[in-house]
Amino acid sequence: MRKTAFIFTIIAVFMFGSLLAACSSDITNNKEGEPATANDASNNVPSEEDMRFPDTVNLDIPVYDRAFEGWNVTDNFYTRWIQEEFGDAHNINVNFVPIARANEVTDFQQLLAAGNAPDIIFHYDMPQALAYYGAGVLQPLDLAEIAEYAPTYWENVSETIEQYGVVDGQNMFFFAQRPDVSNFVSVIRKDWVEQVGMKVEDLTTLEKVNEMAMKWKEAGLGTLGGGLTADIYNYNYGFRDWPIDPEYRALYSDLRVADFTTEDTERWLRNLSYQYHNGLIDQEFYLHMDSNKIKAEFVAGRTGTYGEYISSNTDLFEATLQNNPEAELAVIPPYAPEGRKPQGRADWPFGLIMGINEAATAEERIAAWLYLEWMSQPENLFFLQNGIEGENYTLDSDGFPVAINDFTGESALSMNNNKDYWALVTEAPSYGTDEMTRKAMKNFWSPPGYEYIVDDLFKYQDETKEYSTSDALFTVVIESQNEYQADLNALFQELYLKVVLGPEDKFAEEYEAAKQIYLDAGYQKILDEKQAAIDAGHYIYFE
Amino acid sequence: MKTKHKAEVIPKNETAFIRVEHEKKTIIYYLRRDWQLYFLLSIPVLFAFVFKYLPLSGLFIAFQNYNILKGFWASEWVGFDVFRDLFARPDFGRAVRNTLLLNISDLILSFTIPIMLALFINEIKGTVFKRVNQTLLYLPHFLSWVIIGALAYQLLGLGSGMMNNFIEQLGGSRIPFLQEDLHWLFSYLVIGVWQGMGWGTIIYLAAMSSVNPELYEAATVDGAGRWRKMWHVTLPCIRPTIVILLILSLGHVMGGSFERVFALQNMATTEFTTTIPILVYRWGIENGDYSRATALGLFQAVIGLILVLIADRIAKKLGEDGLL
Repeated sequence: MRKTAFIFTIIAVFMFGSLLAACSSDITNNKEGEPATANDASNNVPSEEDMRFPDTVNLDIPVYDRAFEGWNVTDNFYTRWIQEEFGDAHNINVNFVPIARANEVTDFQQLLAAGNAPDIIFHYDMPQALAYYGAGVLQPLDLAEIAEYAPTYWENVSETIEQYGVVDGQNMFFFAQRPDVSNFVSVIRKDWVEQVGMKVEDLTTLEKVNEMAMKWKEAGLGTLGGGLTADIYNYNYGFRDWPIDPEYRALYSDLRVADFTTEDTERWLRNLSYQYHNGLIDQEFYLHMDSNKIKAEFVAGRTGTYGEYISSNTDLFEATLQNNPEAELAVIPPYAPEGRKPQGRADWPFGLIMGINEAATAEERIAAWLYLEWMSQPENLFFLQNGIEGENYTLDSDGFPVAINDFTGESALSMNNNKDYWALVTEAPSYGTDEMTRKAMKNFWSPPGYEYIVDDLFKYQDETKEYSTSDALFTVVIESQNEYQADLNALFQELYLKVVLGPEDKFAEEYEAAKQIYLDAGYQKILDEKQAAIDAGHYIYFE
Repeated sequence: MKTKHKAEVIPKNETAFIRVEHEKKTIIYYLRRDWQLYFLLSIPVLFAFVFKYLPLSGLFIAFQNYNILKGFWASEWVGFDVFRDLFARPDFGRAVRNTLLLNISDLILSFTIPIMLALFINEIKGTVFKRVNQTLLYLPHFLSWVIIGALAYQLLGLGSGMMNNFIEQLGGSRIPFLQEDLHWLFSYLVIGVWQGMGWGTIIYLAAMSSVNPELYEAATVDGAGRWRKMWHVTLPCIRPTIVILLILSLGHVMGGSFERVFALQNMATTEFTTTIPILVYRWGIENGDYSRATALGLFQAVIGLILVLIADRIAKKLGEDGLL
């Protein structure tokens, strides 16, 4: 008995000790009860002539760490160049704070909790940006201050900021530009299509595509490619009615939480079920949770369709040809079910959504504007995007840069052309007009000999432009979405696979039951909250 | 500690003085005398304190509507609300059921098989053969579950798994080892046994090596064969070890390995894969809902503790030493 008492005493002492330790290590940077206001300016303001701070200012800039091999995101040729060119000129110490791309919200939360968060807090998706706002970690912005210290940047994005940066009547967000170009391309094995007596350009309806897949199967060629639907839920856009009702679109379009209950989704599921049970699609599509696995199937010649963000250094074509010397690739034309339009999700008219950390001081905030201003200068942006002429790139006859792909010197760009640094001001390089930008980007996106892929990509983008719509944007935080998101994501995958992989004749029954489970698990609460926000007019609709 | 020996004074002997001091020995006396040993001991004690006990303070957030940005004290206290919400969630009941199902079946298999294996290994006479076998059996323990998961799908996958290709070539039909719920459960258990059985034998083999050889000799004289000796000599001798390990593993019945389920699961066979550790991961790491994840972790730990205490009580009733 005494042994027991002794052990319990020891445990009690440890518990008490750890409690004391935890109390003293509590850090909080949120001033309870104080209304959030832009932190007042201090005496340390940059001089009017050369915009130089009298005292050194520390500017913490977040940068996505995508775990590129051999790439140090916080200390490399370009971060040193930024310090020399920008930092030293303004007496600013630029520190880069790595944010793991795959884990960014947790990273930001932990940095915020520890009081070490960077001066800029960013995210690509509005609901999460609003969640940061809701947590009280952002400070309201003085637009006149941005215009004063970052006139070029302000001129580029002021409309966007004024239109989309307002939450609850306060200016909270500022944005990067997003030129209207995208490099996501879906390719198909043209040789297979022709082998079964069809033409790629005829594949304009889902029925045609299924008919072709059936012929592929009969000829023993392979199947359509596929992967587990997860994370980004825009799968049913092509199955929607056109034109689409604005409220319906606001209620059900959501990248983060799958819409599982609409008729559009039912049509999508029925098609998938048909494709699966008839052997038209990769029979183990649900095991492919990342695009590399889907790509591996395509490259190996087991599947005939695949989509990716194309770039001039993609190994897709080379690898596919290595395994299948007879392979010919083409872009799949946009297709939709018979009688429907090839709808898609258009990006919001801005890139990164940014806010200023509530804990940032006035001088740090001003330093952030100066940084954006400096980066908005075309020559600085161009250098960050392309590197050094003659080493990283050469100029073609039109004056557009052409990357030297095998350059590996000190000034080599990161694998996504340093985008994580310059994404603060723009989402893609821009060369004045859309036409010029496309012309320039062709060099960056076409592997040698595959220029026709990018040409077709642009052609089909133009064709579907009128059917691409941006999701409506809520201007209030949808609390239930944050609460149920992870559960619903897991449940969606479980349920949609159950319905699709289950016997075809039980489809209706299974789907009805699954819908109810999904609604009960929190989706109904999200719909109710969104409906209330829509009724109150708390959303922006994009025509 | 308070034992008061009557000093035996033997004047002619110097040790007498020591014996006298013995009477008023205090912790300080021992600390001073064996400070090197206590210093060495303090390292693991400090380790346990920092990494095992300090984090316990975080359990407070199970009773708060914890907001990582507000911190410990600014977060709102909500009493047992988090637990009420937790128990009402449909995934909770399912996770408890699955956790118990996976761990109890695992306990039955993964606990008994190493004992049998140790008994057999112990019977091997050729030293080299024995060592080689032991090493080969240990090896899977050093593979991470992520690797085992990838290997499992390469070998057992329905579409292109090597095992299924082999079965098909032999004229059989392909088996969804990991792609149908019940098959998945079976594969999960077998893979667990394969991974852990070699490692699990170590402690038993150590215990067996300390069995008094005279007992075997006596058994031989009495005419016992190998099976009899295993059953009547080896097993009873390692019984205390078995009981201690059983009590310890009962503590995991409510928890279990996160990585193992996570690495082996796929979204088409989720009937048994929603377990408590998976939910803690989903809520705590994926959703950032720290309060609910902590509450679930606390619930799991309390049940684990109760199970250990019950097992300990039963062991004592059966005449074993127990833990506490």
